[in-house]
Amino acid sequence: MEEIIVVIEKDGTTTIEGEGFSGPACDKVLRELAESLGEIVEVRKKHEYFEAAKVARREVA
Amino acid sequence: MSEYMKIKTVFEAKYLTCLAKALATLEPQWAGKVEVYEGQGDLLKTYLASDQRGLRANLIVRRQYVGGASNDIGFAARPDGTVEAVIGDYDRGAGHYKDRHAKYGDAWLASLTQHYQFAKLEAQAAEKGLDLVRTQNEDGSWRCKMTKKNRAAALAGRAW
Repeated sequence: MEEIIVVIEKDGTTTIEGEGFSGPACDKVLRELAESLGEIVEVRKKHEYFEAAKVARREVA
Repeated sequence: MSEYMKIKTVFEAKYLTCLAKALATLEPQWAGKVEVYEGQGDLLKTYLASDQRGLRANLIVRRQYVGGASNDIGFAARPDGTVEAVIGDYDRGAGHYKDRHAKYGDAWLASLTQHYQFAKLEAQAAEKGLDLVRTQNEDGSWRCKMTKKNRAAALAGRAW
């Protein structure tokens, strides 16, 4: 099931990530939520992104 | 699926009601006593009952609810849309009172920021019709899980 996990640290610093999503829709949902919560200071691609990219490259080849 | 984002939390004037809610949650004795002002706000008062050199704030907790020797605690909107805490040295444990009181110092402000961020998240969940469940981690951080309210909608993969 699709979930958004938000961790709010004791000083209010917040991280956000999606779990169980497939496809790029997750990035849009997360970005909208993140922008409503404050200033985005770091964006990292999760492991699944690179796995998906590898699969896509194999399919093209 | 693919992104992880880190967000810096800043008090913002457009979320003043979330800040008021956070104050009332962190300090339950202040529930119903946080004054909210639009525009230029209202004057802050000191323990001498005179104004604090004309300082104004948009959210105010009057000194009688803060402590006997305290000034009003305020939060003032700035032209750039951010909101700044206006807390006297005595209550912050700063200046002459360094490390002597500090009930509303940096640690308290950090905790207020955590509560404020959760209040904003609650507002977002309500607006989007999402379920929100909060659990506390051992380090004091909060893990908040957002899911679609309706399991059938979730399984059908409806848009967020």
